[in-house]
Amino acid sequence: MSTRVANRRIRLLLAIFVLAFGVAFLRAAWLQGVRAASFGRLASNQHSEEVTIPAARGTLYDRGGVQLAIGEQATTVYADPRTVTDPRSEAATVAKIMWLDENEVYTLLADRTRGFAYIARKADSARAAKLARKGLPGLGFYHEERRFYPQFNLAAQVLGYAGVDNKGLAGLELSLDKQLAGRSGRERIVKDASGQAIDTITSRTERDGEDVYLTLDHTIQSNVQAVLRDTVREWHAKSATAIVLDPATGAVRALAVAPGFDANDYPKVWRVFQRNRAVTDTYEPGSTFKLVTVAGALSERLVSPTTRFTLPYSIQVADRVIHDAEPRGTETMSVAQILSHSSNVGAITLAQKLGQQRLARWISRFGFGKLTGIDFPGESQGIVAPEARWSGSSIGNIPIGQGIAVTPIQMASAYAAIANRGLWVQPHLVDHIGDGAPKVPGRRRIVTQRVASQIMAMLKNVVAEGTGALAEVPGYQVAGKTGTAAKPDERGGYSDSRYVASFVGVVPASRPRLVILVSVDEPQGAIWGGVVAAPAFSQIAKFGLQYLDGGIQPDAP
Amino acid sequence: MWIAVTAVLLTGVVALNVAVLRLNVQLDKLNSERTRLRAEKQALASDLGMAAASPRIELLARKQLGLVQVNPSETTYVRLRPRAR
Repeated sequence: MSTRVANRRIRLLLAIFVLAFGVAFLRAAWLQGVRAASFGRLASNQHSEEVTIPAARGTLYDRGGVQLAIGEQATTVYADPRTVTDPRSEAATVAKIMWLDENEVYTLLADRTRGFAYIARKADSARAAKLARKGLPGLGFYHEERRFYPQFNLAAQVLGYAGVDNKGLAGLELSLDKQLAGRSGRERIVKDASGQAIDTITSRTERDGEDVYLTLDHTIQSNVQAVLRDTVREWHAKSATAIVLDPATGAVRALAVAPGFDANDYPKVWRVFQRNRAVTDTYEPGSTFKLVTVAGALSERLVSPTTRFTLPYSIQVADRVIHDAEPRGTETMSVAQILSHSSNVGAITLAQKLGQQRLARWISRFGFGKLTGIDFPGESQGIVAPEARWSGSSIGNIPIGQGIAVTPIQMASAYAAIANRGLWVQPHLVDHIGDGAPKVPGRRRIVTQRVASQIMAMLKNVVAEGTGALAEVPGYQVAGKTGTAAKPDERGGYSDSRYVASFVGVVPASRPRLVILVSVDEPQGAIWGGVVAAPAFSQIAKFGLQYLDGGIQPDAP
Repeated sequence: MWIAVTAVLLTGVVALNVAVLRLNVQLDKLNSERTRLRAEKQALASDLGMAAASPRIELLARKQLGLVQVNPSETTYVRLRPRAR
């Protein structure tokens, strides 16, 4: 081979090498320069993963430490329909194990236009584990926390509920969401080729939600709910509401609305049954409101409990004629008798003595027309017309609890103030959060101790010899007031068939421990608070007195 | 001399990395264990909550033990006086 040929071959080889290196160099420049960012991201996704560590939602406890709302582990089942091989048979297996509708599951699994579909969110972990063991292609599983209410329908309207994403949607779950939710954590996990984590870079540690301790007592609450259920059934009523308050502290021991519902099944329950009517709804109180009129007249020293009035059966106020509930002749009644016999004419006579301006001031002083500030979302302030907008007949209907709307919690706190020697204490449902100190409720004096004890004595008469006889609790002195109010109708007047029957009482009257309000909406067969609501009060009081502190000592003489 | 020192240092670095890797794998396992235990705790709390439900206890007391609610009028309270000196 000549030297010339050899040189030519060497040059050719060199050219090939230069070309090859040139191509390799250009490719390297392309990959590391132009595509570097996107390939870097792909590589990063393959060997590392950003993981959110969910924070556990705090538990709601009753005052004795019994769980009312807790988080429990659930498993979410999802599918990638594109990798499902036999949608029909898989749907049958999934539906059977997970208790789902087979056709609905089949529709999800057969839809190959999507790469992800939820089969069951927050399903039972045991059933999901059974399904996972089948190893069906295209199915995936991950753990999530699910809110669970272990006492089912207990205080459901108070507790509210948290949604599928664990966010509070109603009740205390909503108002305390910030404290209960905590803060989720974040981690970046570096994985090896087999998907095993080999490094964890924590960027934020999760902070679990705080536990919340309520003032409710699950035993009293349970009893109250049972009594209300029976009352609604017995009187074929639309609904019933009850509140049990500790007058000295303002702590709500029970707050119930019947019919109730199971918070675990909240999506299936009508909104109307989910409302906490004791706080968010108003009603015309009727005669229970006479407390304000009498307290105002006593406090202004216009009358004493023994001051007597000659009262006809009816009284004309502006264009209205108002009469007492039962027909009677003209009678002489003391202030105490006006309250115990629930005389409308008597209460209006006292209000006329008091005057419109002072009556409006006393209504406001008792907290009607204002929020009580109870720690529950959506509280209504009631409907109290400003005094400047009162009509000529207002002084004839407001003193007897008509033309005014209040919430049950406002009414219960007003009676609690009288039971607490004239000192109003803000009603509250939350005792403390986490390790924090109990919140000190707001207090204000409404009436003097003298007036409070005069009213308590008169309220005892209501039960001993007046309209509230069925509220009696054997062995104990009971003070209270009945209320029967016709509901407003669509024509601007009052219905003659739809009533709210109520009773608010204090036990034991000599050393008050419980204030109990019972209100029954549209009872059938009987309408009177003393007949419909007072027996329910008596049952709730009997149980509460036996249960509290191992039994409250009887105070009946 | 320098070669030996470098070799020792490199071996140390490798050993350290292996140890970190092992610890990370262990951490991952412990995290899984923590998740499992938390789930178990939640399940137990849920069982406890259901078991402590008043209506359930009342039903059991009534049906299994034949207990009934006490009428307050039937309750007698004994007043204890301080012992005389």
